[in-house]
This record gives sequence, structure tokens and C-alpha cells, in this order.
Amino acid sequence: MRKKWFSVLAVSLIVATALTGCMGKQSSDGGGNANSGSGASSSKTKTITLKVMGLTPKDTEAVKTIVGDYQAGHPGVQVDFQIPPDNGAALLKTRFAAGDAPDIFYLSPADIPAWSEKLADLSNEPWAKHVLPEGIRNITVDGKKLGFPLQIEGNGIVYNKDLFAKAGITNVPVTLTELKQTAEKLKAAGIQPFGEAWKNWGFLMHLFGVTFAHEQDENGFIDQLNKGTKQIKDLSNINNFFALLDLTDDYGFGKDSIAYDFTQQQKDFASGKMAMIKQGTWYTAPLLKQNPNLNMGLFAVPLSDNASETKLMVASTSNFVINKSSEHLEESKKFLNWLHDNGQKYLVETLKVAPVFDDLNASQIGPLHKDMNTYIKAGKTYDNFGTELWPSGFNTDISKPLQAYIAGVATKDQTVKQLQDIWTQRLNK
Amino acid sequence: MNKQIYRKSLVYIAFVGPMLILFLLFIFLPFIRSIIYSFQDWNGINSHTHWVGWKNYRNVLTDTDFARTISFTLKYVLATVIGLNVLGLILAVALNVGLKSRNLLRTAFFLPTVMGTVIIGFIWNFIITRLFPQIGELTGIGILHSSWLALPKYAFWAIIIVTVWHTLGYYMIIYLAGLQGLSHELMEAAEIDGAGRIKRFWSIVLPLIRPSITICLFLSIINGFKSFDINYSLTMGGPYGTTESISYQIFQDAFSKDLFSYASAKAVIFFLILTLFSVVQVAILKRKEVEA
Repeated sequence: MRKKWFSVLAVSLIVATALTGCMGKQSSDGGGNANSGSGASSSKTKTITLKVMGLTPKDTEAVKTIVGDYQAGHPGVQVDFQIPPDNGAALLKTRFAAGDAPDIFYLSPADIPAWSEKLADLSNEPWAKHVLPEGIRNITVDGKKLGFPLQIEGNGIVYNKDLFAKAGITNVPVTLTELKQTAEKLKAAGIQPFGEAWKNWGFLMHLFGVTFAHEQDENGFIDQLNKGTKQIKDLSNINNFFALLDLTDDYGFGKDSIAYDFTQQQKDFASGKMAMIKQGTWYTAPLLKQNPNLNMGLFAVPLSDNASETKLMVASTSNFVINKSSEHLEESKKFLNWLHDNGQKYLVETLKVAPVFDDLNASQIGPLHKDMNTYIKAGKTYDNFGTELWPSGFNTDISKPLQAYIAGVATKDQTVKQLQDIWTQRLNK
Repeated sequence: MNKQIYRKSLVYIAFVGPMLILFLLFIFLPFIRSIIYSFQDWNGINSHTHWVGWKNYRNVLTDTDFARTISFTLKYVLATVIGLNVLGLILAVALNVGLKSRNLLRTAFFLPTVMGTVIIGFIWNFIITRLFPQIGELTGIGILHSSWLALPKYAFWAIIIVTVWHTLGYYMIIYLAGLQGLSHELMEAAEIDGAGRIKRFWSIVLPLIRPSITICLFLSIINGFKSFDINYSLTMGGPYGTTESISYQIFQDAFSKDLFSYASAKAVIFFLILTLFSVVQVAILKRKEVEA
């Protein structure tokens, strides 16, 4: 009898702990603000924790250095820096929904408008006046600067200089016709000209973005697309876009390119299997890791036969933003200020990114950045990738019709119509 | 007497309670939330949402992408259910005889099951895109020359092959357990009565392992419908969306395309489809089990 009572007691104890465990979590989630508010006033030597989320797993070591140095110089501040393993967007939404929103987080330019109501206005921060012209547009919503642009990237065609030399090509092509001739020459020399990874939707997005960046009045055109007075087929370079897409496949992997992904591409390009890939400065580290002696360069995508339109797309591609309702708004701003003040050390040398500030210098990062800087100095740049003002979801969705086009199961006209349908659908949902 | 009833119910609560609480917190509440979301226009970010009535559901029903994923998922379920159960049963029967290496073989066939699906997706990605063409070149088998993940028909079979290879061991173990529970007396009696191997298998073994069949069919159907990680890691839904499973598309809608409410509506419809299938299937197989 006694034994039985004992076991009943034990089990109910377990239940009770489980219950209180769950309830405790609930209440601390719900009343988080009130608790820490009173805690802050009662203790003088408070330790605050800045919750930061962003960057990618390759930055793990760099983040350790940055966080360590910041904490050393700022007693009383703990930095809890989470690097999302894969899908950052999913994690970010989950943390907001769970009431565990980070103070500082990381957004791509296309996401800033959707998140804008949650973001603090950073227009009056000391670093704001140093942002390069190429970085301003992507962080600005309704005239307010909402982001701390972390890095500027150049989007164009990466080429292997040794292979170009082998084929006797001395100048990079500046028109679509020249690009085709270049491909012919490479082919004649027994070199595969292109090798595109059209399995990844991100690269198809980049390529289609070129068409928008080349539009004379891009914002106006997108306005009209949204109103329905213009259509995708009215893009001035829509035919050239398909010509370019065909070119990358006819002189590349053909239909198989839709099964070819970026890991294979990096490996093959670094080992000299092909001469050109439609990529950008973000490929520097992975390519040089595969082959430190790779002699490569970057040139602007020639989308038309008008050479003056061939400019490199250069824009800030990732930004730190601050949660407007953060408990540590001022401390978060201080962290970003510190990151800018010590930018040469931490952004350029530790994180190895090309900063978007005119008081920092990043010519040493790699050959692709060197070419990008040449374009910037010559003023031959577009300040966006053409993709930033698309309705959300358009970027991922268009990969399907474009892949179908590459596979040859849809014609150009059908594809254009489908692209238009996706645009309309995405506006209405 | 009263005291005993009280005590008994206390024990019930003690055992069922924790699980019930976890179920309510992690399954039931989110489920109710997603039903609520499916009638709103939340994008996963905004603080303000509006009620939109049946709009999301109307859009889902006219969405050709969703129709395509449903038809893909149904085909996928059909192929994997047949593959897993037929092959699983054959393997179980083969490894139930007194082979010397059977323990080693059982382990070998079960091994893929314990590996992570995402890793398997990446490994097979490499095998299919790199190794297949090389094997094709060496052996002259034409089918291995094509780029499997670029062609919808082949990509479909690539997913089936990888799924079956990955989870086969699990079903094999369940069938094996069923086979080992058979009584020797029945088999001996049948043998004495002159029943051959095949006759014995059809008339004695199969009816007796029906509980195993029920559970294997049930699991393979449900797992087939919920398939997500292989699609994510092997084909990314491609080529051009032809291998997008329902779960994968819902995930994409909710987290990449900022259509949280729309994805919730899809999830609710998906839930209804799944419920329908499982109820019908369990009802049919359970009835047969009782007869046998």
C-alpha cells in the first residue's frame, strides 16, 4: 500500500514539475518587458544582453572576434550573436512570433520594405552620411534610412583571365553581339564559354534583374507594372534578356543547366572548366578557396548593343537593421556605430566584406572587388540589382517558368505571359 | 470503493496528463492558430492583420501550382507505398531464412534509415549528377547519360529511388518482426497438408502478418504525404517546380514568399486530405484484420 502511494506521489510530482515548467516559460514570455524593466531600475550594475542575428555560417570565426572585442571594450554588455544555419527568414519570423525578437538583425534589400514598420529610423546616426551613393537606395524607405549597409557587391560576369588570354581575347565584351563573338572565340579555342547554375533560383533572379536595372526609368516602370498600365513584355530589353539566357545555355550546359547547382559551378569554374559565369563579387571567397591562384575578373553584363548601357550593377546587398521596439535601442545603435568606427578592422579585415562607407577602403579583398572599384570610379554603375522592388515572392516564383523555358517545354511568349501572371498574382495575394 | 476510483483516475491523469499537455501546447494550439491565420491576411511580419473570409481558400482552389503539387504528391505516395511495402516484405522474407550473413545484411539494409535526410539528399545529389554519367560512360547504359535532375520524369524517379533506399530498412524491420511472430505449428501443419512454399506464403503468412501490413501501409502513406526534406535537399522542387511536395510548397509560401495566411489555408486543406486518407485506409484494413 505504502509503495503504491509512493509511486503515485512520484508521478504526480513529475507532472507538477512538467506543468510548472511549461507555465513558467509562458509567463516569462508574456511578461518579459515588465520584468526586465523593473529589474533594470533596481540593480545598478546591470548587464544587458544585445540579441543580434545575421550573417552566414562562414562568418562564425569573424563573429567570435567581433563579439569578443566588443564585450571587452563594453563591460556590462553581452552580445548574443546568432548565425542562422540555413533559412534565415524562417528563423527570424519564428523568433518574432515567439516574442524573442532580436535587437539587431539582418535583412536583404528586398525584405526591408516589408519589415519597415518594425525598424528603427537610423537617418541621424553618425555613419549615415558616409554611406556610398550605391548603398543609399536599398536602405531607404519613405526617405528614412532604415539599414546599416554591411557590404556592397558587384553583380556581373565573372571570367577566367587565363582562358580569355588562351583564346586570344584582349578586351572584355561591352555589347551583346561582342559577348556572342567572345563565346564563339572561346569555343573555337576548345574552351567551354559558359556554365550556369540555373538550378538555384537566386541566379535566375539575378539574371532577370539585369533587365530591370537597364530600364531607363526603373521606378516608373515598376509603378506602371503595379498599376497594370505596363506589362513585363514592355520591358525594353525583354528580347535581349532571352537572347542572353539562350547564349548562356547554347554555349554552356544547355538544358542540363537546370540541374546544375552552385557547389558544382564553383568547383568547375575554379578548376578552369569554363570561362564565364554570371555571378558577382560574392563568389570571391569560395572560388579562391578552391583555387588560390585563379586569375579572374569581373565585367558588366552586356544586355544590349548599346555599349553606354553596359554598366556594372553595384548595390548594398545585406543590411543590419534595428528592431524599433527593442528594449536596448540606444545600446543597439552604439553597437553599429562602433562597427562603423572600427570598420577598417572588423568589416574589411575580419569579415572581409567591401564596406559601403566612403571613409573605409576595401581594395585588398580580391580581384573581383578590384574590378568593381574600377567601375565605381568610372561612374559606370547601376545602383541596384533590378530585383529589389519586385513584389515579395516574385523572385522565387519566376525560376519555374524560366527553367521550363530553358528545358524547352515553354516558348518565349508563354514564358513572358507566365512571368506577367506571377507578377499580377503576387500583387493580389 | 470511492477512494479506489479516485486513486485509479489519479494514475490515469499522471500517465496521460503530461502527454496531453504537450499535445495541446505543441500540436493542438498551433493547429487552431493556423486555422485562424487562414482566414486573415498576415504576411508573417506585420503587426496588423485583417479578416478576409474565404479569400485565401478561393485563391488556393484556383492555384494551378497547388493542383500540380497535389498530383505530384499523390503519384509520389503511390510509388513509394508500393516500392517500400513490396520491397520491404521481400527483403524481410529473404532475411528471415537461416542465412549466415543475415544479421550483417539486416544491419546494412537498416543503416540508411538512421542517416539524416538532408545529408542523404546531398550525397545522392552528388551520385546522380556526377557518378551516374560516369557509370553510364563505362557501361554504355544510355539512361544514365541524361541529366536526371534536369528532366521532370527522371527527377521524379530519382526522388522515389532515394526515398525507398532511405526508408526501406524501417519497413523491413516491421515486417521482419511480424514474420518472427508466426507460430511454427501452423507452418508445419500446412507443410504436412502438402502446401507448397508459395501457397503457404499467400494463405498463411500474409493473412497472419496483416497487423504489420496495416501499420506499414499507414506509416508509408502518411510519411509519403508529409515528404519534405528529400525534396528540399535533392531537387529543391525542381526542375521547374515539378517535384514540389505539398509540405515543401507550404514551407516556401510561408517563409520565403511572405504569404503566411495563404500557406495556412493550404495547410488546412492538406490536413483535410490527409485525414480523409488515413481514416479510410485504417477503416478498410482494420476490418480485414478482424476477419482474418
